[in-house]
Amino acid sequence: MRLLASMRSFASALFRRSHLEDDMEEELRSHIEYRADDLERSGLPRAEAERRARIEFGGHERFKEECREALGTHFLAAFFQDVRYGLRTLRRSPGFTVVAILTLTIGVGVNTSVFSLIYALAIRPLPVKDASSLASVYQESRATSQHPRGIEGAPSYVSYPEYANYRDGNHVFSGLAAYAETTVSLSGTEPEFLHGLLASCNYFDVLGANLATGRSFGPSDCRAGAGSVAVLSNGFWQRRFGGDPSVVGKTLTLDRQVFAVIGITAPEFSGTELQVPDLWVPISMAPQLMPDTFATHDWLALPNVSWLHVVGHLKPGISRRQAQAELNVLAHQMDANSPGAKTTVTVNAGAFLNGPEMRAVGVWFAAGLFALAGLVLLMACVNIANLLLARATARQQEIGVRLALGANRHRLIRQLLTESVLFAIPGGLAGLIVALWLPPVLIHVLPEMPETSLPVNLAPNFPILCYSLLASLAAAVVSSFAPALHTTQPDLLTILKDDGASAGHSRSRTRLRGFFVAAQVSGCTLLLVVASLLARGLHRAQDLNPGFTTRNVFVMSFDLQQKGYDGPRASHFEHQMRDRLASLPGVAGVTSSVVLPCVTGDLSGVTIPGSKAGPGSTLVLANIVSADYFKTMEIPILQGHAFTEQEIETNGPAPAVISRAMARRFWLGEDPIGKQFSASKDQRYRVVGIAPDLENLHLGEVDGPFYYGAMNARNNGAAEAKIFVRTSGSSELLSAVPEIVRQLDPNVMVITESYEQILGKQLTPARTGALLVGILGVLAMLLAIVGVMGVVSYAASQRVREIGIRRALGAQTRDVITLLVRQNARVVAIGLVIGLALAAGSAVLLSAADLLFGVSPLDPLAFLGTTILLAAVAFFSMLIPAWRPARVDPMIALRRE
Amino acid sequence: MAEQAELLPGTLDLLILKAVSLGRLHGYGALLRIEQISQGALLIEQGALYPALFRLVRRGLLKASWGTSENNRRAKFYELTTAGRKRLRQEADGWNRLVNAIASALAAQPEEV
Repeated sequence: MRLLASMRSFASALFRRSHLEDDMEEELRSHIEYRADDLERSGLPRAEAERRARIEFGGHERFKEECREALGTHFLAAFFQDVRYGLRTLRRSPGFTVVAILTLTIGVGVNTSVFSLIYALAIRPLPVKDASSLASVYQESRATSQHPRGIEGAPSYVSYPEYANYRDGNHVFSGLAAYAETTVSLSGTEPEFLHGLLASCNYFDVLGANLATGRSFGPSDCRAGAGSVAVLSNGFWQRRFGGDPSVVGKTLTLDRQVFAVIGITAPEFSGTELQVPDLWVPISMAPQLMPDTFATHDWLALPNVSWLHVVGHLKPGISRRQAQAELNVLAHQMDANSPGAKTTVTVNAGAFLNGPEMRAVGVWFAAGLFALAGLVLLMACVNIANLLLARATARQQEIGVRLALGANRHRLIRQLLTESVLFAIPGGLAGLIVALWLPPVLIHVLPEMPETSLPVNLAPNFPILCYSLLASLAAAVVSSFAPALHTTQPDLLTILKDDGASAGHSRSRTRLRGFFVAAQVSGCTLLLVVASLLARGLHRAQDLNPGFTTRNVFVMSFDLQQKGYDGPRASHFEHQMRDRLASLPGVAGVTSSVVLPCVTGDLSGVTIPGSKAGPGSTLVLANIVSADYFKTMEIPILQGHAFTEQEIETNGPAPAVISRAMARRFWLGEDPIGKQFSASKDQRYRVVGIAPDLENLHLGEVDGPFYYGAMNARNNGAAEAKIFVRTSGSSELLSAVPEIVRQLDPNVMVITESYEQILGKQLTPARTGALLVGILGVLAMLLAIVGVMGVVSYAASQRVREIGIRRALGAQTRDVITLLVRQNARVVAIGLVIGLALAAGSAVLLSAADLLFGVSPLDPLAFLGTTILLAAVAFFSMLIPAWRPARVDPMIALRRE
Repeated sequence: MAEQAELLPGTLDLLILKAVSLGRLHGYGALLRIEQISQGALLIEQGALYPALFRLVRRGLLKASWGTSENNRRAKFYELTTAGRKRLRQEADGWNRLVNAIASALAAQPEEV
């Protein structure tokens, strides 16, 4: 009854608000008139009676407000009122509104980007049919000494017999597929390495993949011995064959096995892994395509090797928990066959990163990313709080008057918070726009992401929209809470007496704001210096000259050691290989080298008989190379000569070329040619020539003492050697390489890469780092600009009267600007100095991590450039808000009081 | 006029219910009635009456309707609902118990302890 009554009252209050307002107004008025009647009867004139009645009644508005509250209309009605009022206020100060929204956009945008990235990788359903019911099966197997477990990939992967057990025994999945990732080499005129998936025969059916043309695997393809068939991915088909449908039915040679192409997937199917496969082959082909790992055992029969991903669709109405329970039962049945084994199955929702190992690492990575993004949001909050504080000064009087008229403090705070909600919503929506373009950039910064285009869907959806709006609201409320409390401090007397500018706490406020700005400036200085150092390093690395040529040089790596080659056999293979490569047309030089300069390095202990450096061995850098190394790599010989094949063949100490630094180190003031030294493995060398100091160890860093020993059958260099081929420009001749290798030994695998590409890969961490830090730096700079502008306009608004007096006394615009700028320049300068110091510290770390490529950690260009840039930016951000009050008409400024 | 006392918090509602229980009243009338029945001993801020009236209406203890008063002014009249009557009884009992308890506590003599 009471509930009904109050609900009715609330409802009528809500819908007939204006009616109720009139009603209330009339009732109060009638009260006053009754009272006036009484007073009039006691002898007062009517006018006086009405005046007295009103005074006796007390705070009319306050009671009305209390009545509204009593009626229960308050919350929503007040909210709408606040919204209307807030919109009016925001419209009146478009500058503040725009800056607040932009600041939120940046902060929320970065956060939403991180969220949508993590969401896309770890939560969002995979791009397959009925993705919501897709689940992955992982397991934890307790390995014991009786039951050792092999791992190819991750420990949580499944063996084939285990997979077969789950697939055939369960009643919860509509189908379970298994697959393993592998790399296969495609031979032909343009050999290349492909990303292949060894898939169970039901793979395409389970995942509901459509084919563009041809067919997928049939049961006959999966019998042992059968299955030399392949399904190509649409992307690979387009890239390699230009979308030619006649490819179906033709054959491909993969790892020296001939496969018939039977189908092409539809463009929308990209599998369930981050790296889209180029092709799929039946899992029964695993022994042929993974000869290294399958050499001794048939993994398809081994129950204790983790190598397969298992995915499947849950039957309708089956939860992951139920599925997990049933698979665990199956696992325990299997464990019973091998006492002591214990397997625990986990069923995770299908997502790109859902393996237990991935999750464990991913949590930390996500936390780190969120921390970085949170920092940006925090900076944005600080900025908005700053702006609001500045505005609070301007509004102090308005608020003071409202408090004096009996406005309730809670109500005022709520109204100020409503205002921040009003700019939070557009801020959140604009943040979503940032989240449209930032995640595709960010995703490549993540470690171990394939370089190919990713099948990840980064488009915003409802959860991302919610996240964005919530982050924005939280940021707005957090940043406006303290200023709202501050502004509505019931210190009426000071506020009303004065214009509010000097309301008691302004001094501590100024100091706090100064601290914020210094922190912002130092933060963005740090980020920008680091970004420009990294960029300088990259620039330097691009036209860096290590002292040897890498242009048109191709590097061939072999797996001789794995194939059991011993020294003489490897030496023979290496000689044969070099001879055949040298005979190809268009080859400018062929050589062998154990070390891949700038990527790998080798240290060797050297002893010099009777050297001035004293007894004992000294560690120096070393490489073992074949005769044509210096010619092929275009390294000049400064003194003596490069060793020849004949010298290498002769018995006695092997010839060696030493670097100038080594000559200085051991034979200062002597002629090192003809001198001997011994190195590790009891190798004796005789110096035949001196080479310049190069940058073999780290790009951009001149080596210390270095020797090049001649490769011979004794030092066993050939088994580890890579062959470098310098062509005269075209790389076509490389297509002959696999054939040459095959003729020499069909078992040997060869990988051919361009030296420049290899070095380019070395730059990836620096490149992505520079990009990320640069983006954050620019964002931080934008925030700092807003911060500085806020502080200056605050200071200016505080000093309007003073400025007016100064102008009235003849101060020029310039003088006033100088005054305002000088006041804040100190804070900016302090921030700048702190930022530079932090940057110098970080730069030393970067240099130690070889990310600067020889650029000095105190590179003047980066430090000076950033300083000048930030100083200029800070100056202009101070100038703009100082401009308006500085030009103010003294009369207006003074009259404002 | 007797010396005036400030209202104890929470007693205004009780007084209003009592005043209205004696007959249908408008706001000003209720104020006068309270003054009258308390022999002018209680001081009520005039404006504060209305939030209390509105609150009682919202709780379903009073019902209000517009009407015309004896001197032909439009006014909003309040009367008790059944719930209001019940509440008045409860509150009055509670109040009397409290007053008696406090009175007997204050009347205590040293020898009774």
